[in-house]
Amino acid sequence: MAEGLPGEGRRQDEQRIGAIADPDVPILRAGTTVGEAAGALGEDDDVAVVLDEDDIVLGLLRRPALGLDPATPVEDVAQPGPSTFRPSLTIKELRDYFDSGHDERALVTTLTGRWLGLIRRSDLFDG
Amino acid sequence: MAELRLGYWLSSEERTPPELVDLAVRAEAEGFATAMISDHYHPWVAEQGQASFVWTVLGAIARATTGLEVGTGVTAPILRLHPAVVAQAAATTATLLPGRFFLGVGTGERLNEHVTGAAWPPAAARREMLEEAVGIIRSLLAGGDVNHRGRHFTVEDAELFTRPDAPPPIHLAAGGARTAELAGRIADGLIGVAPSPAQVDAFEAAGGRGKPKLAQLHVCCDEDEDRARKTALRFWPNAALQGAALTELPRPRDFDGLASLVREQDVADVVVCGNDPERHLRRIAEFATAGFDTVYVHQVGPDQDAFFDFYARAVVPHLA
Repeated sequence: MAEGLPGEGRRQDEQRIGAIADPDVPILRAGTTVGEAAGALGEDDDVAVVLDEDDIVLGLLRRPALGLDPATPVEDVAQPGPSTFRPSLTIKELRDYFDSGHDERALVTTLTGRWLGLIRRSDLFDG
Repeated sequence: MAELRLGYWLSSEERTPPELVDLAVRAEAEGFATAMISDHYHPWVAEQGQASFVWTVLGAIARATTGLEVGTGVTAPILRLHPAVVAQAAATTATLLPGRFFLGVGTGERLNEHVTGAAWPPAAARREMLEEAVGIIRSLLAGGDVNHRGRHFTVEDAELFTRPDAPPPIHLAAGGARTAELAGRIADGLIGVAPSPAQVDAFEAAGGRGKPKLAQLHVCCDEDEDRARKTALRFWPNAALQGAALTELPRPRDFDGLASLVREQDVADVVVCGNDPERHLRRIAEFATAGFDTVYVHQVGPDQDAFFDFYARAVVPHLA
């Protein structure tokens, strides 16, 4: 399967996570200030993904960082180097990772770090 | 979902009860919306000099303040105080601080919990005890007659007749991923001491998403940085200690012995010393970056004016 292309069929263990990664999460570009970022997160959003101009993931901005100096660039207060997962991983493998209790969310990127989407724990365990 | 708040740390190890009450009033007047107060039987080192009964102090704070939220940071309801007693203390305090009290709990330190002569359990057992204790506390706060025969605790026909309209939130202190996971499962919030995204992730993965995440930051504000470093070493050398030493040593004089090996630089690496706003803001930002939404600032040493003045002038204005 090509990286990032959605697959077919229903969500099942051997399906690739690239097919279900949600790209529709708040995105912030490097250079955006904390003050400018405040409007990008909806009321229920707890994180935003910080990308460079080539869509490479630079970090994960958590909501409390919006309380910092509004003039600060978001890349300075984003968590650097969050764990990322390749789209070829299966849902079962990601579910096993979530089962280990390490994380609430998984950032899906290509091998080179290009942003594809986000999967939450609840996407795999609810229902 | 919460953004960043600054809170004030009431250090029971260093301040007399009247000072703690006055400082809570001062914090409220300075605009702090929340404070956390340590619950110790002993100070870490003798130089700190104090360790009052936190529940009495909380009662006085309740009557001296009008809007300040206050919580314990943290109570260990496993040995020194039975969870049924902690539940009564929390319920009473919550009626005095309606809607502005939280119960912070943790697995404790031998320093504070060994005094009744009970054997000091290993960390895994203390986590197990804490989980059972929180269940008991919640049952009692919910009202009605409670009977419990568990692995660690027994409660016989207990009922709280003085209860708040709504039970106070219970936040759980975690020093590692396993306790953070426990917090995510059973608590209403996380209390952390290090800016660790992994700890926040473990908390959220276990059910803590969207819940409060509180942290503690040690500072020593003083226009003379050299004096600040000396003050920090004198009054808070325990900041430089790590691992089992913090939970296993029984007496302040044991910590005094260990603290004699601590260098000024070791403490300054952990306690933000001096009045450089950038360094204070950077440390606060580390907690926000990790996902903590409230940072309780503990000013080490006797000069609390230096903290309030410096933060109002040079730190708070730089936060959104």
